[in-house]
Amino acid sequence: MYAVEFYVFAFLVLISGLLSVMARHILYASFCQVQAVIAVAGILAGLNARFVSFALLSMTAASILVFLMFSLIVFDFHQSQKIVPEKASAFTFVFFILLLSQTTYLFFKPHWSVRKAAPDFSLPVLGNILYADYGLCVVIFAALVLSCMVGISTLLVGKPGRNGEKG
Amino acid sequence: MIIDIPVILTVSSFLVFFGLWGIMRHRKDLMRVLLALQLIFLGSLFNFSMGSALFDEASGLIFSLFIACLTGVQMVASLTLFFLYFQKHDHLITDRINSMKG
Repeated sequence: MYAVEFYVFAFLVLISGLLSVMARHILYASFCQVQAVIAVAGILAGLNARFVSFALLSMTAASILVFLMFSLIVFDFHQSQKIVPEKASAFTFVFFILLLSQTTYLFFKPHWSVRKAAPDFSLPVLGNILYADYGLCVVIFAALVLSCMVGISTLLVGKPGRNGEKG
Repeated sequence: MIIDIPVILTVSSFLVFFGLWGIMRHRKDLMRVLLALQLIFLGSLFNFSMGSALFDEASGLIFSLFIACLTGVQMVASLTLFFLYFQKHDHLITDRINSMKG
């Protein structure tokens, strides 16, 4: 991985993280968060860890989508602030141009390492380590996630609402 | 230019700092706190991944995978709890949350 590429993506991660905290509206903060995650995924792809990069991107896409749905539709108190302009601002334009350029760069540059070969973090290598050395961790983590999901489902199904109806 | 350990640590610690700052700045808004928590998770994921590449050891990437899954679970669980609270009290203002008892 070129050092310049690392510095560019690290700069993007930091700027996006800062903007994510400083943005007034939660929609823009989520966009900045997405930008930070894509930049981290770019760094991971440069390290030949494409599977982790893809897993991070897919997980973030799903969770940010659910987050935006809840924050803008279910908990609609953010809309009452009326900070979002009706027209798309220059910020949105810059955001999409940046995302497009990063994606294009990642797509058209499959072999990053030129001077020094990056370590092999391909899916078979990760799978071997995951199930050979960290098998117990995987089982414990899966049990934790499963119990969390069962607990959430129990809460959502069995909890009565304010008027006594099921939630 | 080389990618050195202090640079990696600086970037990841800045990410964690931004997350902590976000929690402190938006502590009255639980959704923004959740977003800031994700930033902290991203910082630790970045640290594990870069350490893994630096020392040519794939274990860090395994932990990165665990962190990514944990972030998703944390998001879903938190949103469910917020939803249950919002369903009962019609607000998510932390100043008015006196107890989390069902």
